[in-house]
Amino acid sequence: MSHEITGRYVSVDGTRTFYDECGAGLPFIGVHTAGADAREWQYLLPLMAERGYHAIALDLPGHGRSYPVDWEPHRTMHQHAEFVHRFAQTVRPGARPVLAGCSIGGCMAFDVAAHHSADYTAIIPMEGLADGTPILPHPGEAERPAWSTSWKPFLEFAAVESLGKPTLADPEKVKELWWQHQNAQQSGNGDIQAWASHDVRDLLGDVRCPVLVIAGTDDFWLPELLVRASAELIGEQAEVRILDDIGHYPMFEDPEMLAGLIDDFVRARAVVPA
Amino acid sequence: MKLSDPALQERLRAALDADEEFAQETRWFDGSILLEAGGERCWLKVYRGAVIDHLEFVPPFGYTFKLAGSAAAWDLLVRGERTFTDLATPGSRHCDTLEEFAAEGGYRAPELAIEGNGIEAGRMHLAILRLAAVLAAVAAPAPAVAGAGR
Repeated sequence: MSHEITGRYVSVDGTRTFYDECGAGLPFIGVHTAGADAREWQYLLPLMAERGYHAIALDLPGHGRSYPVDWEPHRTMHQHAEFVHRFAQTVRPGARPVLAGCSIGGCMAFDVAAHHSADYTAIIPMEGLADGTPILPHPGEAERPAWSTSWKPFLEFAAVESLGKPTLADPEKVKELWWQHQNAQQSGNGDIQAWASHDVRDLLGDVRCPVLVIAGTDDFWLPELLVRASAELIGEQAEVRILDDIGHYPMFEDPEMLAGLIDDFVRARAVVPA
Repeated sequence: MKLSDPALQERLRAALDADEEFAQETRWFDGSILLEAGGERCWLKVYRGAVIDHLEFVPPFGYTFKLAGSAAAWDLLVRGERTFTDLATPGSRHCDTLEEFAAEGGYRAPELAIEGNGIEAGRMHLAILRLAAVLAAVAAPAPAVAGAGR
């Protein structure tokens, strides 16, 4: 059975918010990376739908077809994470979704785990950390185009160069990922401000749902040591999977492998709502 | 990599002039780019999409911006062990211990620094990426030829 993706809008925090969806069942929500949009999840959503999920990916505020809240970009991870939580409650109220996020989405997943874990069946932070501070300096001084002529191409190629080596060798996939990162200036800069100031390390001691922490060996932004340190803060609820030949975008680089990995984890570890 | 080697500089000039993306990105650039690897230097005069001169020293009127790092940092690029973005971005990503990551608030200067006129360097960011890729290709050791030395 084929699962076609349908685009929809919903109002969250008074903001017209776009999301893609397909399938029916337990909600699975994907959150994209900095300066990007829901297209990063387009290959994974049908695969999750095949496995019995209502697969959803949203454009974060100020990205793709979603307006920013009050016409300002989010500049903290907690702003983003609370928005994602309210989005989940609005689209599928009370349904305890599986939440997966990548990069800033991965950091948001840690933030949601810190504040709302009982409302989720499982949480999957990918290429994200509980504390983003050491990876990059805070880029607030580069937010406006007049302040930094390099910010937009920097973020676009910071994305491209962190692909896994097999995907980086495919010019078509490189171009596609580059075109997915055309929200790089104000919104993307706000995303990285959020990354650089994000820290929920002291809030992860009481996570109530299983957490699968995923990172690729080819992602130079995410040292494995820091990924494992973030997972250890969650304790027994957390598992870590380090993926060979994968970079910063597992759902884009090998969606089939990732769909199986997530589904197996949910079936093995989670208490799925009836 | 011996950046000041005139033969390497000439190969770099030729390779950049043959690179369509570098030519497109520098189409409206009139300036000079200094490459520094330790004490080795390569000064490139770029005008309207072409490298029109190169020197192994800095002329009296200086440079528009420079890419500078240790010879070891450039070797990481040439050998393909690190990407240019990784080498040129501040932050702590290559440490052996958590204490090392946390030192100095986690902030570390980039191993390849972009210095000088930051507005022009920013405007030329894609040209810099191409320059780094072309330099890495030109400076890479030639692969061993099967049967050589017989």
